Amino acid sequence: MGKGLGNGYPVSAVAMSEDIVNKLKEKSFIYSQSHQNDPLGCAVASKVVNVIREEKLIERCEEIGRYYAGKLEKLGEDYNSIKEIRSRGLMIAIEFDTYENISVSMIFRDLLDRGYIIAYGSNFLRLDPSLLIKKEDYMCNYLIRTENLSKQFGRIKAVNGVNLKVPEGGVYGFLGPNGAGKSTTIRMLLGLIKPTEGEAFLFERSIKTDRIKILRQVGSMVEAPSYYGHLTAYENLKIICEIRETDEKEIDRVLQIVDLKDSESRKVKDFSMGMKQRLGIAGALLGDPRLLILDEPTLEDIFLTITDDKGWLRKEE
Amino acid sequence: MRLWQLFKLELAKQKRRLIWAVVILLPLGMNGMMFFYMIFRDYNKFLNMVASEGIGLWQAIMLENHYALGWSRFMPIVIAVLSTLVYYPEYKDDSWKNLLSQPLAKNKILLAKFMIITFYTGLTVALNAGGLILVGKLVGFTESVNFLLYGKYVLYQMAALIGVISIHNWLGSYFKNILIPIAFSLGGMIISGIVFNFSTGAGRYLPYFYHYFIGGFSTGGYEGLSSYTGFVEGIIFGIIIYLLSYLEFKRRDIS
Repeated sequence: MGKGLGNGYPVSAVAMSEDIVNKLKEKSFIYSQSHQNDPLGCAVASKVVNVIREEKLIERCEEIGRYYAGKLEKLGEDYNSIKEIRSRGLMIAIEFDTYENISVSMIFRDLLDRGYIIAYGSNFLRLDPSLLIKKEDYMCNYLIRTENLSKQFGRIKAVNGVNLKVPEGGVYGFLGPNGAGKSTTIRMLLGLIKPTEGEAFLFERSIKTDRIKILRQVGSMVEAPSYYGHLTAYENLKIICEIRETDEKEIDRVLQIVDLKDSESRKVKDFSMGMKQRLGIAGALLGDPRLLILDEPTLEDIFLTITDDKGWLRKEE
Repeated sequence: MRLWQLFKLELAKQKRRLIWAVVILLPLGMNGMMFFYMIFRDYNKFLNMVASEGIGLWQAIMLENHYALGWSRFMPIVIAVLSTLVYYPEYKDDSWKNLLSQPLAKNKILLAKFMIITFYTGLTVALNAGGLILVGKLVGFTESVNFLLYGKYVLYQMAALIGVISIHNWLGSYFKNILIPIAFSLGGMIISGIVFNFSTGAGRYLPYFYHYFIGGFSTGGYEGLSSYTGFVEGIIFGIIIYLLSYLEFKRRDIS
């Protein structure tokens, strides 16, 4: 029948396929590999097989494995030292260029000790993600999540118990009449104002406690674009670049996206409202943020739409 | 982001701005006035006064600058102007919310502003002191320059002004209307003067007055108030006010 429990992994209980087990059953053949042919062990193993089937653990193994492997492959695009990601179910291996660095091997040793990896060698790491994680736990489903978010100014309740869930990889429109509390909610999401009640989470972190970590991944423009009028467009973006510790080359990229490359040396106070708006969007795009929050981005003469392959904004006349 | 990088950014924001004119022209103007004051006054009478007081020429011109020309009365107002100019770009173009939506700690933002106001104040004070040396040379002081005295003059002034810088860093961050901090400074000076007239001992509790009586550091104090008091209490008051402003700023909603 199989091994009841092994090394903490129920999957290791599967010793043979169900067909074989059934055939064995037809012949009233009971086979056990457990120590001392323990009938209790067999009963447990049988139960485990049922659990594997009922809870679709094999599918989950494949799903989690695919998820992790996918993430690691993305990581490999950014780091040349990662040569290849190999995976089968939950068994995942990362192959590196051979490293000679002693500190790297110390880190790997530490990861092994902590149980984050199951093996490592001179050019590979092997992971074995836990099967016990639920899908909603391992996938950061919501970029934005609010719980009963409320804000009161004196007697006026500007925002009343907002519960938002914004998933990753989409565009979320936030609509409402004037005074509905849209901007106030956005300000609470960015940590500009504190909620009277409730809490806001971005990337599943609380803005109250992890404001800086969160804002590193967020580009924003709140209501009218903010800028220093006496500085040029380039100088304005350079300030944001330095704050976000982003490569200055990014400035050219974002200026091209918003079609302001030719005006980079002009002082912003001489810009039209539409140009200022586009500059504000360029500032929000700096550093390739994971989340873009734009409050009233379509004032004046520009209309924005999601077009390019990265899902970024592009100007449409 | 490191604090010095933020400080550099604050400097970058002041590029092509009026603040540089204030920092450079104001002490130059005061030095110009001092120059004409020395030219048109009875120079022999000045030398007699110096001799009768038993002080050196460099000390005398420093005291004339501090009290007779009113440099000490000016400085708190200058700080109010400097702080409003430092904060003005954030209000003028509504940049506060953009700045605070960036991954920056609020305490660093406030501290960088405090540092930049202190920097501009220091520059103003140092240029004024340097200008006095130039004036002394131009009018033909025969004594060798007492650099230690002037170094101390700058240091004592800065310590005495820390409290006022903290107050105006707070006010500058709080009020969009730039006239309010300036009015506050004027009010502070006037009330301090009135209170000091009634009780010289109360001077030690009036941060707007520290800079006034610190000028007496080279003569052992002013009206019974030790200059050391202005030095130490200026710093202590500055730290207390700064901490209060930090606590308030951290809790403040940016609308």
